Amino acid sequence: METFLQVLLSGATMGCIYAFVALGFTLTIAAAGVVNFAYSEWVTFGSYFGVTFAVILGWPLWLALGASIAGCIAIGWLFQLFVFTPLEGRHFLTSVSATIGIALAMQALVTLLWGPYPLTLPTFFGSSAVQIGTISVFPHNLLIIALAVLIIGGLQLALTRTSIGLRLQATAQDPMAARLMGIPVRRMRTLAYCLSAGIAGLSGFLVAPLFVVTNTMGFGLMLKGFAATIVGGWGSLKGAVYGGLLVGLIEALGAAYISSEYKELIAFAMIIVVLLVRPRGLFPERIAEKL
Amino acid sequence: MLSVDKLCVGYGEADVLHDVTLRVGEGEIVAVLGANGAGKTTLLAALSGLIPARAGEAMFDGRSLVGAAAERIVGWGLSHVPQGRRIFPGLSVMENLVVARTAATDRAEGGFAAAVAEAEELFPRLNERRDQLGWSLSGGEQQMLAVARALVARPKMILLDEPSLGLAPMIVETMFSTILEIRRREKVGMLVVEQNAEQALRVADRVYVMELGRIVLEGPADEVARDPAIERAYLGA
Ligand SMILES: Nc1ncnc2c1ncn2[C@@H]1O[C@H](COP(=O)(O)OP(=O)(O)OP(=O)(O)O)[C@@H](O)[C@H]1O
Ligand SMILES: [Mg+2]
Repeated sequence: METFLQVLLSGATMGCIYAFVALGFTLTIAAAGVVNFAYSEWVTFGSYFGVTFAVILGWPLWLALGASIAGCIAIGWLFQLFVFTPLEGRHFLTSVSATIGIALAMQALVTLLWGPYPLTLPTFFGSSAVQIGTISVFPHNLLIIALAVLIIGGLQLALTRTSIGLRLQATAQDPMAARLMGIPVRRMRTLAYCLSAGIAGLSGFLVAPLFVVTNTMGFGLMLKGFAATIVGGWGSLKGAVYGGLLVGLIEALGAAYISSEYKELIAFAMIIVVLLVRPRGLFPERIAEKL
Repeated sequence: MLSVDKLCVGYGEADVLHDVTLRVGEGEIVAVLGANGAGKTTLLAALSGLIPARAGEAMFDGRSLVGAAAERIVGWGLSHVPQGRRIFPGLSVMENLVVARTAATDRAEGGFAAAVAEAEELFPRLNERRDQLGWSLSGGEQQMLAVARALVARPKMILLDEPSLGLAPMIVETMFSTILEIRRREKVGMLVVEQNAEQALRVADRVYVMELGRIVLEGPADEVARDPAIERAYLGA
């Protein structure tokens, strides 16, 4: 029983990270049809920003967290200026290939800027576990889960209960009609890119203490985040969140009870199974069905 | 209020509108009749800033529409109900109205609540369907919502693109009666483009006939309705 809870907790932690990555990746797809495969590098930069501010510059962690998020938002803003806006209206494969190219360049840039050796980022609460009942828990894991609940819940409320959130949804669903309603579509998309980038910064910062920081860490997370979007349903925000959690949990359970060597394989076996049973994922966009 | 002078519009290589000239006065209902591909949708899209004009001028309420962005033009009091209604499918009826709110909505007496109440008075069905998602509405309900959405912006004039498209004759009849009622209550002018000449001629004060991107005939609705060529081409007589 204890091991089971322990496994669930670590699965949920990684699940929250995957959910963040999948959510950030899906946001630009939903809002502007932009498939951003450089998202992995946004997350990597989030981690390296964290290391730079917290370790190299020695800033307090909360400040470093804020600065890392801000740094990633700046990257998102630059992307909208130089990549996304010029590619607007093109076939989505154009943004796919452009962002893959940029991702490779950014990966190389990381090595140039921060060197080839893995770096580490400390946690807010030190690295020792605390006992809760019979299971031992790392406070950092609890922080990740709490932030996921807060931020994903907050985003859900903002998107469905505020007028700016509804306008963002309207832009995503029909940009032409949105313009006719006087909604500044360009600005709404920029908002979505920046939100997506902010989430990348947060996930990069949060995931760094769980592993070491390398220039390929974002890529590994992105594979799982991508799996989550496929399992959850392409373009669906809800699907991204549940897909991420599911991938995290199944990966942890599979590693504990089947084989930890094949941990990576399990997530992808799961994609194949889901796609066989439900070709459009678990939470397909209802809108797409009608159109 | 709206005056269009020798407007030319096209896509890529193709010129679609040639020297289109027309006028819509304050509170006037003007219809543009034309067959498929005549360029009706292109005309409205150029007026509301969705596509750029190549030459000519279009003035609305003292401002030039040529070169202005669509998202600003609504704010000037010109609303566009596009072909195919273009309801936001994933938003509820109420949310569709919320995103249509503009500065003019808030300036008007009673603000947003009054605008919604008035729209729901014209279309009581929308009140019953408040929380239903856009995609699940019937074609007629979507058309009602599309017009209500335009009204929320408190326009001085509405551009209506084929409000009859795909609707049963009875619903079309009601829709056009409501168009008259909107003019009576809100004093808004309307430019309606239609293939359904019978209904358009019933509500319009003046009519233009468009063929292959050119205005080929214009006049008061009752006169145009008696034109034998129009009877043959559009009224199936
Ligand atoms: N986006 C576009 N790109 C290129 N050509 C277009 C585009 N939209 C319309 N056209 C062309 O412009 C011409 C006029 O089209 P438009 O949609 O304005 O006609 P319409 O009168 O509204 O027809 P309908 O009654 O079928 O809606 C057509 O020949 C059409 O092929
Ligand atoms: Mg048309």
